[in-house]
Amino acid sequence: MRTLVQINKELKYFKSSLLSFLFFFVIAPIVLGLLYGALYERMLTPDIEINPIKIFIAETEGDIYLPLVRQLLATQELDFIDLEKVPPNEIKRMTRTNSSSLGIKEEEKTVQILNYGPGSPEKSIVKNLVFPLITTLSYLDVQNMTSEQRTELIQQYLLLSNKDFTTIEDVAVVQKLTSYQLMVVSVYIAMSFFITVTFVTNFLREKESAVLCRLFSIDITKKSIYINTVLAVFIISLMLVTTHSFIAYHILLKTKFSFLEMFILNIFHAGFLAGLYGACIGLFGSEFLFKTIIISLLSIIMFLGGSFYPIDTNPNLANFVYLMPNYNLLKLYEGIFLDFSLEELIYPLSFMFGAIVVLFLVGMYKFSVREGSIC
Amino acid sequence: MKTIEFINVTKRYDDLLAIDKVNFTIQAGELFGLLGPNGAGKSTLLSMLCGIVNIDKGDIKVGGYSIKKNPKQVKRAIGYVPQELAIFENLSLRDNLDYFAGMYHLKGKSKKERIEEALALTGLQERHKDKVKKLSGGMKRRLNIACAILHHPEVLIMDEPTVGIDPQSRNHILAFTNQLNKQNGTTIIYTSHYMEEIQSLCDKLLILDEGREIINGTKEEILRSVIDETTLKIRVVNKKPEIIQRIRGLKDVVEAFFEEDNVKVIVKSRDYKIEDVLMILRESGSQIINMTIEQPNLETVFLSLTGRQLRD
Ligand SMILES: Nc1ncnc2c1ncn2[C@@H]1O[C@H](COP(=O)(O)OP(=O)(O)OP(=O)(O)O)[C@@H](O)[C@H]1O
Ligand SMILES: [Mg+2]
Repeated sequence: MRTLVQINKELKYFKSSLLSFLFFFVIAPIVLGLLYGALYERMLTPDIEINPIKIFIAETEGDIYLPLVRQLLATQELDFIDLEKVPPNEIKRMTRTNSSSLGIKEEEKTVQILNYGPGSPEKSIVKNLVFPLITTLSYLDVQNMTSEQRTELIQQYLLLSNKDFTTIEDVAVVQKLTSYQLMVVSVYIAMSFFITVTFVTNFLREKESAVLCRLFSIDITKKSIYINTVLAVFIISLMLVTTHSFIAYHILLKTKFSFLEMFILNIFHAGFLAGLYGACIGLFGSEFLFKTIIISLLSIIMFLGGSFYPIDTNPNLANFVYLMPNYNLLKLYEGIFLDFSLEELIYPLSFMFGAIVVLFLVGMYKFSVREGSIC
Repeated sequence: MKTIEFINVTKRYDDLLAIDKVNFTIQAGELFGLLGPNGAGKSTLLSMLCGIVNIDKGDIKVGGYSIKKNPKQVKRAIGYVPQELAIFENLSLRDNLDYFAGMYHLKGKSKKERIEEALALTGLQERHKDKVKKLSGGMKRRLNIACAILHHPEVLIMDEPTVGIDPQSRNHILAFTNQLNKQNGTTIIYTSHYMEEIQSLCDKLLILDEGREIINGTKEEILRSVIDETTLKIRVVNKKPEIIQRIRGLKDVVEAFFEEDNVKVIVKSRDYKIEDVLMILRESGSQIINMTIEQPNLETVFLSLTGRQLRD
């Protein structure tokens, strides 16, 4: 009953500053996240453009390696390579007249690559594909292979070589969030902590603590006052977090995810914010002390949990990340976007659940034993 | 009906003894004043009565229930108006009242009625939709009181309800307090460091200083017990020495003397015969220019008991 009264009151307060709440806790994080995402994207992909390259190939009867080399270069994955068969006596001239081309021929079980022009990324790519292939083939009994076996071999080889200029990367690489998803989620998790800061500050404001003093004079236990306010903050946080998820991930980033799973995750997220709120109102009595400590604490958490840069790039800190709420929340969002199984998410889920329970209980204990002050 | 008993109440903040063995009783239906300078411990005493801060030693009982052992019963009987504003600045008046009414377990129709009633009693009906931050200081004070009377408490505890506000709001609050006590029979504990307020409003009072009881009783008792003399100060022209002799001869006159242009007459108790003094002056041909009677007041009581002014 009084819980409803409390929630109703918090909602009225929330409504009276709805615009600033929406701005700070929905719009601004999205804009910042997209901005970071764009920066991150540029950081990850240096601008190399692959141009088409002409390859002259002089294949003769009895060549052992050349058919396979041709087959390799002709695979559709390497669509920037334009292969042309030429007679063996023409190859030098042809290659010379086209300085951005390469020539390939075989003489006495040796493959030669002819180059008369300056080097280029495309030329390096082709060389890096061909030489290791020959080395590999020299160990195999190529001559007695069927054509299927050869095709298979080429595919395997392409997979193994795993060059990031080809689209075959998709087959071999683990799934990852896009830069935009990663940054929008990380930035939001970090900024959502300030929902808690806002509500705690509000609670600690002088006038509000006189309200608390009045509440202590009413026949309502400290425990219920605590539960009521934490619950009210939980509901408001849940509304904000859900709104953000819907707008950012569904509408803007067009990510596919299950709404139910997302809602459950939002409950964890909002639960953590409310738990942190509870611990703070239980532990802190003055706004100044609270702000000093919480800002330092959040900075550390954001640093160690990698909210503003990809944490994987810093192996020294990698051990701490598992203890950081922002990192674990990020893992959960990632799990939902990439459709991880429940087993894969069991650690972050248990961590978040444990953290929520501990924060809530610590706050409740400290709040109930705290003596009011005169007002 | 609920008697309020303070039994040997003691409270210490670190090395400051904020309340030192205070003992007194407030009868049901009284309008009781608690007077004392800043830092005397008035708010501390009331906060202990309301169960906001713990009592170190002793106990406070309301209607026989101890605040230590049965806080629920005590809290149900009281309404508390804190010295500081305990209202939400960002909400409207009505939303504030609505919130506290809900906290007092009021619902539905009766909640609505009580809110209307509280608005009417404090004269805030017209502003009920406004945000609190738009109100004047006096209106905020009135709302602060309105929030404490929604549940019709048997005991209303008001901690400096008139501090720092305009005379109009102040008079409104004083009249309201009196009405609540006289018409509804609500027991009221009224705290102030303005002695005029306590003197005009309260029948019984306790003066507190540095956490200790200075004196306690009805207003008349207190005024009389400390000062049983009244000073008449009469400014005259043409003063003749023989009038002093004649005045000294009157019954109940303790002393009479000239002080510059004034004749000062100190009479016993407050049953002085002013006409007799004036008669003597007229018969002797002295012309009276101005006359003041220095009434005893709580200020002088405090001064004579502690050697300090009530207000610094
Ligand atoms: N939480 C606290 N910690 C330490 N000392 C306190 C605390 N609260 C009050 N005091 C001290 O207790 C004494 C009594 O304070 P209290 O507020 O009860 O006085 P008061 O009579 O209400 O004064 P005022 O007229 O200024 O409201 C003061 O000296 C004050 O400094
Ligand atoms: Mg006070």
